[in-house]
Amino acid sequence: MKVGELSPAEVRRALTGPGLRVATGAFNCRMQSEVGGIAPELARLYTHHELLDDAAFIDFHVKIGASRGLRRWVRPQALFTVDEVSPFTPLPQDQALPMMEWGLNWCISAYSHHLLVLHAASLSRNGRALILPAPPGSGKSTLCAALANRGWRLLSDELTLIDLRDGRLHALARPVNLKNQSIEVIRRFAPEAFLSTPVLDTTKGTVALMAPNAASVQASAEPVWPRWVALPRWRAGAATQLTPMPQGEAFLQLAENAMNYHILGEQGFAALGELVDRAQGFRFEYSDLDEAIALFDRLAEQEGA
Amino acid sequence: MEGTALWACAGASDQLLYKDVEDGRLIYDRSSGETRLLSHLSQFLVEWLEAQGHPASTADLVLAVHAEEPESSTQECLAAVETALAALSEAHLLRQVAR
Amino acid sequence: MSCLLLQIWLQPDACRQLDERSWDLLVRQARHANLLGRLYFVFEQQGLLEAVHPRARAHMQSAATMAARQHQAMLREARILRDTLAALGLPLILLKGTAYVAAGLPATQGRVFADVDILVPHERLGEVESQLILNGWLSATHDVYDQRYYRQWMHELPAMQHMQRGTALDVHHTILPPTSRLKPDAAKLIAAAIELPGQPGIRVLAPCDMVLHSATHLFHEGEADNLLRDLSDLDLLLRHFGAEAGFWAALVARAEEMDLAGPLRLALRYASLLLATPVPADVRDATGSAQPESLDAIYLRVLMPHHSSSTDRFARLARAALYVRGHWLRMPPHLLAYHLVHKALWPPSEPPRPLDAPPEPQP
Repeated sequence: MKVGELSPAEVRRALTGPGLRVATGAFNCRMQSEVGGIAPELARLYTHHELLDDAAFIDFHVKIGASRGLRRWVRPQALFTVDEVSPFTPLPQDQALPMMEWGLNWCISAYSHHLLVLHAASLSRNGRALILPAPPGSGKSTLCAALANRGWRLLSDELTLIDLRDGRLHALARPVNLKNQSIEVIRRFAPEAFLSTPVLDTTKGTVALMAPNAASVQASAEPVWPRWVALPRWRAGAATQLTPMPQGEAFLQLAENAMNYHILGEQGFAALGELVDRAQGFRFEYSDLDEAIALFDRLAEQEGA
Repeated sequence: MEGTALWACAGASDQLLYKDVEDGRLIYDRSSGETRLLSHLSQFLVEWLEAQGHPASTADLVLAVHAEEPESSTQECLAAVETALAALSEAHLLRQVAR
Repeated sequence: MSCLLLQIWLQPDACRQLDERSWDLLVRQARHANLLGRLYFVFEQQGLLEAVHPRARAHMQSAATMAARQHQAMLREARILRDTLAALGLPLILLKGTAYVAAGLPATQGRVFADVDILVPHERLGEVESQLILNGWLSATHDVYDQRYYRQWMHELPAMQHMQRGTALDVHHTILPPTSRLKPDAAKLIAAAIELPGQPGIRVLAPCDMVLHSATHLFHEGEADNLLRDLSDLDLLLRHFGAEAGFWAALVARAEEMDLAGPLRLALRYASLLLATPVPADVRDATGSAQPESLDAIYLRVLMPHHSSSTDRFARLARAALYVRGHWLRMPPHLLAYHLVHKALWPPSEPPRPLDAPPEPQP
C-alpha cells in the first residue's frame, strides 16, 4: 500500500501519532511530527512511496518536535530528532517540512559508512547511472530535477550511495531540494510536477521540495551500475559542452565531493578507484536546460540498453 | 640550482596503496590517510632513481628528463622536475640526503 | 526491567530468535550506549554475522568503520604528542582509550573514543602546558569559572583542542582530583608505566594500573550516559589481563597500595553482575565484591543503556543521585553546592551530539 492511498486524515493521524512508516529506497524511515500542518504536503511528496507495516525494521526514527512553553506563542520553532538525538539547533516552524528532508540526509551521512556516500545527484537511464557531483551553487539540483522530469530515473538529488561490495548505486528517490531561482525554473519546465509551498529565509535561501515521479519511486529498490560522472557548471550564455576528464582528476574531484571518503580510508580508495574505472568522467558546461538534457539523452542512447 | 642536497627514494612502504590511471598514479597513505595524484613525470623520477640505486642531484634528474624530452628546453625540464620533486617530497616518496 | 542489549551481549547466539522490530531496538539501544560498533565485533567473533539482520548489520558495520577511522586518527595524534613532549625530555604516557588503541587491546574494537588522554608529572604541568600551546593546542573552554575549577580542584587541565587538527586533548596529572577522599599516588603510576614495543617514547600504565584507572574513572564520574560502555571497557580489560598468571593477586595488592580498593570492589561487583566478567572466587572474597552494596539500587539502574526503551521511572532519579555522588566523592560538600549552582545557571549552549556523528552540517 502506498502513502497516496491514505486519506489526509489518516496521514495526519499517523504523522502526529505513532509515525508514518515509509520505504525510501535503501532506507526505511518512520516519520513523526508534532507540527501537524506539514501532513498534506508531506503526503503529496511521498505519495508514490510504499508504506511499511509495524513489524518492519526501521533505519531512521525521525521526529519534528514543536517548541514548548511560552516560546511557541511568540516564535514557534521546530526541532529535528533522530531516535532521541538532535543534531541541529531549532529552526522556525515554517521550515519543518524541509527540515525533515535535511534531517533524513543527516541520518544517512552520519550512519551509513557501510556505503560510500557522495555529495552528488544521481539519475539513471537505460540501466546506467549518471553521477553529478557539484559544490553548492553549481546548478546541480536544477539539472537533476529537470532530468528527472524528462525520462531519467531519479536516484538521489543530494546523496549518491555506492555499495562497497560491488560498486552499484542504491536509490533513495526522495523529494528534490530546490532553491531560489531554480524553483521557478522547474515550475515552468515541469508544470505537472508537485512542488511544495516555498519556504523563505532559510540558511539556503528560499526552499521548495519537488515530488519524485511514480516511475522513480517504483524502481527505487533496484541498484544501478555507474556509467558517467559529470561535473556540471552553469554559466550564462555558455555553449553546451561535455569535455572528458582523465581518471586521476575525476578521482580527486569525487573524493573532494564525498561525504565519507576519509572515514572509509582504504575501502574508500578502492571503491572510488573502481568507480573511475567503470564510469567515464566529464566536465560539463551549459546554460540551456533543454540542450543539456538532449546531450545526456544522446549519451544514454549511445550506451544502448 | 639546488644546494648540496641529493634526492633518494624513501624506500618501499607497506603503508602505501597505488592505482595507476591514465593521468598518473593515485597514492593512498594508510598511516596519514592522505590521497595524492602523482603525474607521470613524478613516477618517472621515482623509477629512474630506483634504477640508479644511489641518490642523485636535481641536475642529474633534469638531465634524465631532458634525455626523454629533447624537444623541451632545460628550463622547462627544470620547472617540471622541481614541481614533481615537491609533490614527491610531500608524499614521502623521496627524501633529501646530504651529499 | 529488561534490556535487550545486555541480553544479547551476554548471549549473542540468542540473536537468532530476534524479529525485525527487536533488531531495530537492539541497534538503537547499542547506539545510545556507544556500543554499536563493538556489537559488530561481538557477532563477528562468534561467527554470527550472517545471522544478523542485513539492515542491522549495515548499521553496526557503519559504527565499526567510524571507530576504526578514529583509532587511526588517535594514533597519529599520539605520535605527534610524543614528539612534542620529547623536547621536554618527557615520555608520552597515554591513558584510557588512546592507551588501549596504542597497545592494540581487545577493548578497542568498534569503540569510539572522544579525546586523547595523557598523564604528566604534576611538577612539570606548567612546562607541558606551555609546550602544548607553542605547538598549536589551545584551551577549549573560555569560561573563567571552568578554568579556575579545573586548575584548582581537578586532576587535569581544562580540555585542550589543537587549532588546526581540531583534535581534543586532556592532560592529567593524577587520576583523581586532589580534593577527592581517596589519594592514589600518581608518581607510582608514572614510575610503573611501560613502553610499548615498537613505539619508542610511548608508554601506557601497567596492566593493574590501567584496570584500576578504568575502575576509578567509572565510579567517580558524575555523568551517567556512558557508564555501560565504560563498564564494558573494564570487562574487556579484565578478561584480557585476567588470563595472565599473577594478574589478579597483583591487582588486589596494588589497589590496596593505591588507596583504590573501594572503586575496585564496585568495579568487580558490577562487571560480574551485569556483564558476567569471570572474577576468581578468592578475589571476590578478598575485595568483598560479592557483598550487596547500598549503592546497588543506584548503580544497577544507571548502568542500563540511556534509552527510553530500557529505563523505568526510578532511573532518572538514580542518574541524578549518581551525579551528586560523583561530585561528592571529588569535592568537599560546601564547594559542591557552589559548583552545581553555577552549572544550573549556565547550561551548555549546544545540544549534546553522539560521539560518532560528523560535525554539524549546514541544514
